[in-house]
Amino acid sequence: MKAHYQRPMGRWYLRPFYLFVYTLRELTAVFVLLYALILLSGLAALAAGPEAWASYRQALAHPLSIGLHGLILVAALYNSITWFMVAPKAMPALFIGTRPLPGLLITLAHIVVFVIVSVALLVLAGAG
Amino acid sequence: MSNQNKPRSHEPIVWLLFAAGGMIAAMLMPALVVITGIGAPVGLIADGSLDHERVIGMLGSPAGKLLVFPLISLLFWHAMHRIFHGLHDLGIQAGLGYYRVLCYGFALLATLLTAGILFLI
Amino acid sequence: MSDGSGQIDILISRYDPERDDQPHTERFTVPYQHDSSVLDALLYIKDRIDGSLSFRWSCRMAICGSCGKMINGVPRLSCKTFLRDYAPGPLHIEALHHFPVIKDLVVEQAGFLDKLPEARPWLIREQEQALADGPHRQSPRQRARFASTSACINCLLCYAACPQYGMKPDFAGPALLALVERYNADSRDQGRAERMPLINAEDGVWSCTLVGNCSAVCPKGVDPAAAINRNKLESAKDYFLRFLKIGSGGAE
Repeated sequence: MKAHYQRPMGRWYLRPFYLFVYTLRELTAVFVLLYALILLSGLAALAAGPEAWASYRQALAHPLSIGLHGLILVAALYNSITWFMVAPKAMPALFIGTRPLPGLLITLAHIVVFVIVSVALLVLAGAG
Repeated sequence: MSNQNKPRSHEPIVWLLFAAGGMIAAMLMPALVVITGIGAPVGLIADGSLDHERVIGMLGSPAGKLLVFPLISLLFWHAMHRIFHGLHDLGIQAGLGYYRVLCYGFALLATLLTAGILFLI
Repeated sequence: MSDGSGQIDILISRYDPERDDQPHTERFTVPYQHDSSVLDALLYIKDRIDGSLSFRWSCRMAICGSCGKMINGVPRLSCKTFLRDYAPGPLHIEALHHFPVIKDLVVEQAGFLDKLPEARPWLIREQEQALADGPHRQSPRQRARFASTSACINCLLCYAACPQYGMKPDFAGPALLALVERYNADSRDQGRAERMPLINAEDGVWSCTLVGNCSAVCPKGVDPAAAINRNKLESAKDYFLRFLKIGSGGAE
């Protein structure tokens, strides 16, 4: 008997579309990292004094920075949606009597909290 | 075929940090990006509230520090955990242990930096 | 989608270990009717066109779990997949991905079967109950806790759907970890502590990155992704609480 054939994995993370969807989710981490770095450098500028803070704010007002934040926003929203979609799978199973609580309800509950928190943050920030 | 000799993975440590950071990223990050990256630079936020003293007064307070520290540091853990597993997904096998130290080491460094700066403010 | 009958082209990935280094594709044209399954097409080819075509099948009714194939790149039971949905074709059939191919559409299942005992897939009691004491009683609510995971038919579609298993054959994989959860969630079982080492291992739940594809392809609605990721939380609790001696106790 000759050897079995083992199919190589190849670039599985690109090819079937449903796996590319997963890859995109994982790629959002790059944008989360970028944003965390931007926040951390802001904190550093704040600690360094008023001048550093002013130039940090100036850099953030550059069109390139605003464009980058637009990209980060898209990635963050995608991350949020995918996170809420898998949330029912990552938490303990919930039952109503003998019936499992539909995962969609748990996802929707997360989205409701997300909308409330986001609106609250935006209103608070807008008010200064 | 005993289960008892299967070594325990230490993944729970980084996974919990990843999961906490993920919840923060999912719940707060879109609004925060709009506020800090678009709204504030464009001038949509009330004038004067982004002055150096005002922001220091806000973030430098004990409550401010208590909010900012987990926010920033956990975003790093979330991102670096996914990036490390992404390297494995790309098929990288050689030196994965080295990349593990590099990825989580970076998250740890960023955590310490965040704490240090908050301490100085 | 067409509702009538007709002819459909089927591309089959063929592999003969005696002759080939890697699989090649052969084209067959088969007639189909409204109720013709992909398995019917394979049987038609084997009976009337090429008797050397090898594939596994048995019950024809989605319960034996032996006829899984890649159908247009998606793992599916060939008895539960209908040709009418793929008309006018062509339809591409391959052996289940990630497993070594023995011949044509037949794969080596050892990557799953050899690990089966590690799940301890039987009821474990700290103290066996005497027969005279009667059966272990279970309420409908307790039964509901493992109703979905107990529906697994070991068809291995979830393994063919999981890129992490494809990259790392040592990974326990979706069905095995769902089986662990099936017994852990059973009120009659007290063997959680015995199954924890498999869950806690690198090759246990920690090789999963929640791609979620296993649950998407499951023909029985098992949701292995949920079974695995819920156990990440259990494993994390076990990791930190083991020092307090409450992490890895018996059944709840």
